[in-house]
Amino acid sequence: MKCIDVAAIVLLVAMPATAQEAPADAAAPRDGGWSVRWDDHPEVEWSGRLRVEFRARLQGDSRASRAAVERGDGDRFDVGRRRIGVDGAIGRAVDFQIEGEIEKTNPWRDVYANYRPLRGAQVQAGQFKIPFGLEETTSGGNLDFIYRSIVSTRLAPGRDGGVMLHGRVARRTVGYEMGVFAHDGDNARPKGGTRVFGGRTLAGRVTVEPFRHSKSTMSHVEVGVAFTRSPLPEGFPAVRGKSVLGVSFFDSDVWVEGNRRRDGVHVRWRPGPFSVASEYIRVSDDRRGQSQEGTNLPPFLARGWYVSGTWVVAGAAGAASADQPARPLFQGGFGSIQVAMRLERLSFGNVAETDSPSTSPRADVVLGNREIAMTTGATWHLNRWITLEGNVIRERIGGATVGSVPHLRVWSRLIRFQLAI
Amino acid sequence: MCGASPYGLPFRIGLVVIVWTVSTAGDRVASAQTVEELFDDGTVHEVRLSINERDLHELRERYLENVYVPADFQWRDQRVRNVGVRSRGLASRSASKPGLRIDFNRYTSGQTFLGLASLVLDNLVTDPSLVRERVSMALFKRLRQPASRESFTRLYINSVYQGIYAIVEPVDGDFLVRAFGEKSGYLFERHFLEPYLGADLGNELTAYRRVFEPRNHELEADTVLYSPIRDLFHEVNQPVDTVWRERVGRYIDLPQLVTYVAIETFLSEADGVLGLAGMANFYLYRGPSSDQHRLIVWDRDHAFAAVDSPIFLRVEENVLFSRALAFGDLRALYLDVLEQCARSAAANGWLEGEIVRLSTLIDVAAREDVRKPYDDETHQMAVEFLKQFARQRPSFVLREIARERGGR
Repeated sequence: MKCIDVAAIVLLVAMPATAQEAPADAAAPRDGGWSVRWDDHPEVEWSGRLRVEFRARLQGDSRASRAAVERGDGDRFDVGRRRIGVDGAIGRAVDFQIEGEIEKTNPWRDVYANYRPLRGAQVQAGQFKIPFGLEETTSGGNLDFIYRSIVSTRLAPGRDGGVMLHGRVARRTVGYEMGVFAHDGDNARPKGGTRVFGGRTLAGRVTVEPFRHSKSTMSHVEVGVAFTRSPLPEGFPAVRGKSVLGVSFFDSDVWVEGNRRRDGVHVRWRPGPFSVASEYIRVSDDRRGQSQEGTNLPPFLARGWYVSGTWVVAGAAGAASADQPARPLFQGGFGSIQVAMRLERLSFGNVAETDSPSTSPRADVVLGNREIAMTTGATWHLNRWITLEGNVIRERIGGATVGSVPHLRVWSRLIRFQLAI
Repeated sequence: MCGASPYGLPFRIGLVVIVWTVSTAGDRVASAQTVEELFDDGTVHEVRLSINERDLHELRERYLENVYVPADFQWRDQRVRNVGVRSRGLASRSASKPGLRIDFNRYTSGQTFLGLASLVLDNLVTDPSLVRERVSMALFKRLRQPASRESFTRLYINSVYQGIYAIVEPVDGDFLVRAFGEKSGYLFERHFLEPYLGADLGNELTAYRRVFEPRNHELEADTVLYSPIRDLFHEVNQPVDTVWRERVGRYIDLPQLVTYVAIETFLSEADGVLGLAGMANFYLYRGPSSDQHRLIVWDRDHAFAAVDSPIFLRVEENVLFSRALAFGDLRALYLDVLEQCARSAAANGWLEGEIVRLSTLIDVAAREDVRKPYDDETHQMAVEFLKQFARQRPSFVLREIARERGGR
């Protein structure tokens, strides 16, 4: 680990400790002037007309796996992310966010402004996550596991530039997002090479909390459906099968052309210290004119689902959420501890041994592959800024009965230290 | 209550038999098609490939590379889906009339066609007569040397006639089983990057990898694959004495080598073991429990070079063969096999008969082949030359043999 990383960790550990002890209203805004305070984040405000919050997140991962690791050096402690950003508001109707990573060739992440004349009708423009995928559109700092599910990272679109109309209606029981984006997200885009991805993308999502106003535990139920539609040029798709740590198990060497259709559905229930969530995503790529004779082939399919559950086993009482423990470490408590488990399955093409599946890029029945992964984890929020996470992942790729596709059974262990302000 | 049926049991059994016979007739016709029929050299077959236009463009554009594209293969009523097709050959590579290798199991594990894992479609562009390869292979078989089975076909790609091709059985595992009864040994193809005349290339095994390309056991260590080949050429370059014969004989079947080269010499092969550019166009096969190699013939498009090519032409250039012929019994065998070739070729006009039969067989298909890189007149002249070769070569060789024997 570089000296600069160590220094950054020491500095960031020291800063929140000081901030935590400071009263939230230590520097209350003065009329017509600047004010500075640090509640959840360092914040600057000017006369109630401009508010800017500064955010930073530093993550260090230790990974051990019997499978190859796409990036990093296996067991070595690796500072995976150094992310900084600001978000804030201009007046009462516009808020914004700018976030980027240090030392990345493509540093910009969320860069957008949101105009909210009404709660039920807001317009967001810039680069941000396409409204698809429950887990994919959850902030990295709020995940229940170290990594998102492979279903989310491989099939959900991710970020792109675009404009979106969104809001909540019907007494906030119904949320909607509908936008147009330049492409179909950075998850679907190749980091190099000539693979194809979706063009101008129409995306939409509707979420419903049908019992939002009831007093029962069912008030925390949310269901949602989402879609994207994109034109797809001729080529091999960039959406490929990779394991949690990036080992390729299906290269998607299949000719596609036409339209890409993503469809997703999710359900989430968060009654108190427990939560369960599930999501299903299906990506269908047309193969127009791709047979040997130039006729259409059946679409190339990638599908996946996950089911996850969490339980805050300690430190939840009186806390707004598990990541903001009521009694932090060294302040009369030990923080909060959450355990979680996730089962997921991601498949490409046809993995059944029927109709002579073939690895030909123009096969009617594409011989695909699949992965089933089980992740078990624990998260210790020492305070609202410092988190320690541990995950154990059991992955089962392919099946030995299908001899011509890769198959593998592997355990991986992940530990993450995260410091966020 | 039903009365007695007017159609008794024998009638019903007969009806069932008739229905079964009719309904399965098509299947039995299909299953009756065998690899022997595919290599039936008395007919011009018809092979059809369906290749996506984009892939076909890439195949032609990148014809110098071994780029595979998927295709559907059809012969008679048998269609094999999702086979792998690539351009093949060395000097014969062509964009307009590509030589093709068909791998039936490239994309579908275990898929075969008539039991074959692959086929070669030889574009015949370096042989204006179109029949040199076929006639040469026939003589090798006549002299009981293992050789690929072949037949002629019209090739259509996406229903467009591509020209006359030879269907050639590749030298692979299936071939080895047919020729030697097993396929677990080590098979190498002479890989022509530069001329090689049998010199000792030293202890570095990679030097031999440049000369002989493994065609099976590719993942095994070079020491396993190439040590016997290195040892062969190391021993070949030692002083010629009785020890030489014993040591070299451990690594190569010397009588088989002599027989093989004698047939090549009779055929006036310009691109074989004693070729103009050094050793070319053969496979080496080493059995599973032996260090001894033997040669398997491949690609005879440059045979029939000259009626009067001497029977010891370029022998002295080749270290291995020139030293082998220093032994009296091997030299005598060489002359004996040459004599066998000459007498066999001349017997009842066999060689000329084969040339006439095959050139007549493909005459129409050849004339309609507009992608061949020579005109019809050139083709006819080449055929006429082969007939002249068939008539004159045996007597020329026999005279040379007599002179050689008389002079010793």
